[in-house]
Amino acid sequence: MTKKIIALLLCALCFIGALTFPSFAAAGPVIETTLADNMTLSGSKKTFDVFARNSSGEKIKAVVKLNGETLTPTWDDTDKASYTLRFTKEGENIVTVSATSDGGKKTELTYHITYRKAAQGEAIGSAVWSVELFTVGGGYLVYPAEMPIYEGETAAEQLIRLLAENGYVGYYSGTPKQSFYLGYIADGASQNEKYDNYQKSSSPKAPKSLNIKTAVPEILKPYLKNTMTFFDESDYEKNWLGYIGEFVYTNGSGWMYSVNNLFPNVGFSDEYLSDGDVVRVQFTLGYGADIGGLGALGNGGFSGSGDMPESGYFKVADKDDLTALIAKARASGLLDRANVNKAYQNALSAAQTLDASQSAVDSALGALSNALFSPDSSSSSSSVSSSSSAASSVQSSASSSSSAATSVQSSASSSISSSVQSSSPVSSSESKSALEIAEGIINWKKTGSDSFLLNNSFLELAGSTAGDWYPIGLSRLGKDDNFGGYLAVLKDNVEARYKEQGKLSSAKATEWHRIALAVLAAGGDPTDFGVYNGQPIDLIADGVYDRGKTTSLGRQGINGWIWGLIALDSKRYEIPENAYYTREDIIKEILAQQLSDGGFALSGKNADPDITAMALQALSPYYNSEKRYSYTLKSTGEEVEKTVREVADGAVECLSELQLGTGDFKSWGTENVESTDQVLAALCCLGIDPLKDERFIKNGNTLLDGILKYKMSDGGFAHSFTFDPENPAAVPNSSNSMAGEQTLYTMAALWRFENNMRRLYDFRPEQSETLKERISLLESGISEITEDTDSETLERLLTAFYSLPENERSYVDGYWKLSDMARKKGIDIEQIAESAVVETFEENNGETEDVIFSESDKRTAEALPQKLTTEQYVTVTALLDKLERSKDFEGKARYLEKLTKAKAEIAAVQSEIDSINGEILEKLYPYDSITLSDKKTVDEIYARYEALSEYDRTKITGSDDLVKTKTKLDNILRGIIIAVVLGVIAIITAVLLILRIRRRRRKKEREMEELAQRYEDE
Amino acid sequence: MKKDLLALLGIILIIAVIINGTEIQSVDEYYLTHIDDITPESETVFITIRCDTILDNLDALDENLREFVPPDGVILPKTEYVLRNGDTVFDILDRAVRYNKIQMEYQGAKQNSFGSVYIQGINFLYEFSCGPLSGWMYRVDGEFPNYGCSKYELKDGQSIEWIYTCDLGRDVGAEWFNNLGGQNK
Repeated sequence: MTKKIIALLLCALCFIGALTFPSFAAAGPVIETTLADNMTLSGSKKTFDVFARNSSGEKIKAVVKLNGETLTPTWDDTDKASYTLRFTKEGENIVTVSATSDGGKKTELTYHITYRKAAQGEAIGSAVWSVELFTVGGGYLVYPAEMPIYEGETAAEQLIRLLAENGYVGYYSGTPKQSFYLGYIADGASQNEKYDNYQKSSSPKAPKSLNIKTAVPEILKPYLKNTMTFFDESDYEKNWLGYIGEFVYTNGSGWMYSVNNLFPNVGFSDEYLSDGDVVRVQFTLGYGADIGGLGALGNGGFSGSGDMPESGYFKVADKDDLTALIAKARASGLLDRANVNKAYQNALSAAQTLDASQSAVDSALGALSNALFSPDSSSSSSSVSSSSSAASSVQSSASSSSSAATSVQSSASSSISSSVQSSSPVSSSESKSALEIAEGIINWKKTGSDSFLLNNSFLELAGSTAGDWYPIGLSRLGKDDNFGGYLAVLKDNVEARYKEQGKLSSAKATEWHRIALAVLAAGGDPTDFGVYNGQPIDLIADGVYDRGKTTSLGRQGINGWIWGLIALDSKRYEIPENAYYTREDIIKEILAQQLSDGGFALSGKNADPDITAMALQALSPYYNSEKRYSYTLKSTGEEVEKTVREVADGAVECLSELQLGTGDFKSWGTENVESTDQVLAALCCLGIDPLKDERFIKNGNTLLDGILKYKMSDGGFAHSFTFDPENPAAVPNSSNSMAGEQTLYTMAALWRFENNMRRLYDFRPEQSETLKERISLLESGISEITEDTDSETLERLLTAFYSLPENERSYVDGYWKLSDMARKKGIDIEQIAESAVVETFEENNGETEDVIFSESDKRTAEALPQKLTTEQYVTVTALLDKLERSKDFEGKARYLEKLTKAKAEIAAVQSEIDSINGEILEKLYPYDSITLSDKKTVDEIYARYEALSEYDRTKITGSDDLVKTKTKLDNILRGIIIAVVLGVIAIITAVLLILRIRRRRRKKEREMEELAQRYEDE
Repeated sequence: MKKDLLALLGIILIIAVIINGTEIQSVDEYYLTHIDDITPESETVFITIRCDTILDNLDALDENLREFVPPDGVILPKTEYVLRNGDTVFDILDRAVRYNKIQMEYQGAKQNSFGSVYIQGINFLYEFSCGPLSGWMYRVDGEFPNYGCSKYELKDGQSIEWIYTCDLGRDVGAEWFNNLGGQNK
């Protein structure tokens, strides 16, 4: 009986075990951290938190390793553990976080973190800081603002800086490097060296007083009454005036801080910030329960009366993004605009409401973000800043008075004033954002400590796709950089490549086009760039209109035609009579490749956003032309006759269709930033406002939103976020050179559009003010056209249009409206075009400055090493070019001789490198056929390799194979020598042995003989 | 007499050593010179280089490049190489063409915007040599990765194919083309 019961019990146990065990075993440890995979950091230290739990939700111990070395936590409590990464290795670092629980189940997370070393004290980014007194109704003590982060600096050091800059002092224990604890923040004028045994921080230059008018929010009071042993709302005024910190108002008060909405459990001095962090220093009245930070103090530290709710008093929203945007708004200089101001006030109130819901915070964030993107053009009447509003009103009155001369102007004032304003400094906020984005990319791209992006190591890329787009972007943004150096190295590169078969490329005409644009950007002349066979090199002729003499411009596909046209129109170059292609040929080749969906592609039937956008960039100068082109559509074989405008409108529609809900585009199946860049640039080229045109706003997202989606915290841009976990070596969501260069020049396009400047690829001098004004008058006239506009007005506008120089007509936005209406009214546009007298406008020619070979250039030349290597190639090439162009000075001849000689020496080293590379390829493979008879050759190559400088040796490909082969042969030879020596020893030993045996035998014989003799004798 | 025997033994030993080969190497030297030897323990990968698509598009090919297209389109038949630590698809290709004296030209990872090596031509067959949609692509175990070959780290036993396409991958079955078809509708 008992046996049966036991058996039954066992059965039941097994059953329960079977039921519970699988679910128990399946759930292993859960790990969360505040690190992100594929981060790039320039700070050498990074603090982060690890939350590891077993399947029952209990905290377990995690093992954190940096590059295989186990770290010890700087803090470990019942909720989480904090660690500080200290990077010593530049480039990729691997952080693994693992934990084991639930019967041996292991979870491991791996993070790839790229560390870019910064010098001690160098700025490595910035964090947004705020100091908040919301719990006592004091608003912001320090409004959100960006603070630079310096390498090696702890958060405590930044906090002290922040307080001093804002007029306050802090009282703390520990030191800013160790065990720092902020006891009180006090009036800047506070003289006490110590307060309640806390140390005073340095005094500010402009002291401020705290000025707190206590008004504890009603929502907080019942909680405080329930959970605190002491609570007196008037405590500050009675006992602490001028000092706010621990034990003021309640027994649970004090300063806490959150980083990226988490309350770290390490002190300020153990926290190392990284770029983009949001730090909110907050005053709590209830151990953090009032600000969403209850856990951070650890449960042991809590001593209250009544029940402390486990997750705090109420739900607290994540206000970090809002805080960061408030900082941005305050720095934008736009708070005087009515819409911005309203959204800003609304944002402040959402931020300061303790229990604001997440949706309220998010909607305030969205509204402020929208307002900042499209601020009202004029200041609000309620605005504080009267100076800027005065400036803009002066401008609008100036523009209307100057326009009072012609007949169109009365209807024009609104659009004129807006166009004048868009180029004025007051309202250039939108362009500032384009510029800011560009600055971010430039800073990200800069390497080393050079002030220029185009430094010597960058110059090695001149003439390649990785190099040329950066000077184009920089120059079109009006940035100063080392363009002279770039031009010199680029010219050398072009001259050298012209000597090769196929010159710049046997298939890709776009090599010529990109280089031509880079030459223009750097201030050179692509029609006269270097010398080949005693003739000046003309990149426009060879790469565009005469390219057909070598091979088709479209050899590589539609790209060749598109970029050919862009290069040709970069200065509206004239094509000579005897050229291979006419302009019309090239335009028609592009038009003929339009697809049935309106777009363009490298191949296939479906539009590709990049190619479609590039086609539009190329066609944009012809958008206002009435010329009709007849051509055969490649996709259908259909004969058509169309204007460029008709084709372009179809392509724009197609792009609008392709835009995703997030504002960006997909190409080749991948959402990416470059496609979006190209579309934004294309719209700017067409004179369409890329951020306001309804066709390109999806779910409220503009193209710029689509681009900013890919912005990384280092200022650069990611190509895409699609990631392949199978192959962690390819990192799609980190900043990338191509994404950077395309976004950079797209920001140039946007900035130029907003400031009424020449289009991105129009390198002609800027239009004169007179011409700009004429165009803007005409545009405002056109904008007033309605169905009722009489023919006389239309004809007058048409005459005004056709009296503009032909090459400037593409700058009249909205001409299509005039053209359509005129046609509707039966006006003969051609006749007006012919009879109009074309006016000439002065060109805005920039002056060319004298080139001066400066003292520092001389010093650089003098400092060249005795033994030159290819490492000095860039320096020498750039210097020599500058010297050749410079004004005469004493000693010029000597420098010319020195640098010319240096350049020749480097060229000799380069050809030695090329020759060794060739020899290795030629003579070292296949290995099997290498025998001792090749030893001399291999030794020779090796000796030449050894003779190179260390730098030059890195340019030898297959040097490891060379070393391997030499070792192998040396080993064989050594083997032979040893064999020979051993052989000789063996032979000698053998000979000696034989001699010995023989001697012994002879001796024996002799003895025998002697014995025989003696015997005989006897 | 004993001494004789000893000397004889010495001679025999030396002869044995000579017959056995005298490659006496340090450990480092051994590893250096035997790095590419395939042993039962070594991790290996396979590589093939083919251009058979050109055979169907000979009209589009540059006249003077015909001699570089093998009759069966195979430039390098499936060959096994030792996988060194951290080897990428590019490293194996580079080793294969060097060892087999096949011409190759590429753009270094620094020289282009993709941040990866870009293969321009193998065996004198370049991108665009056979029409505007032609060039070199690679696949690993039948899949076309959408990133550069110097970013693809290989694992033991994987098989690389370098394939010349005349139609942006469609003629060799690149899968992302199907995705692209779905992109616009």
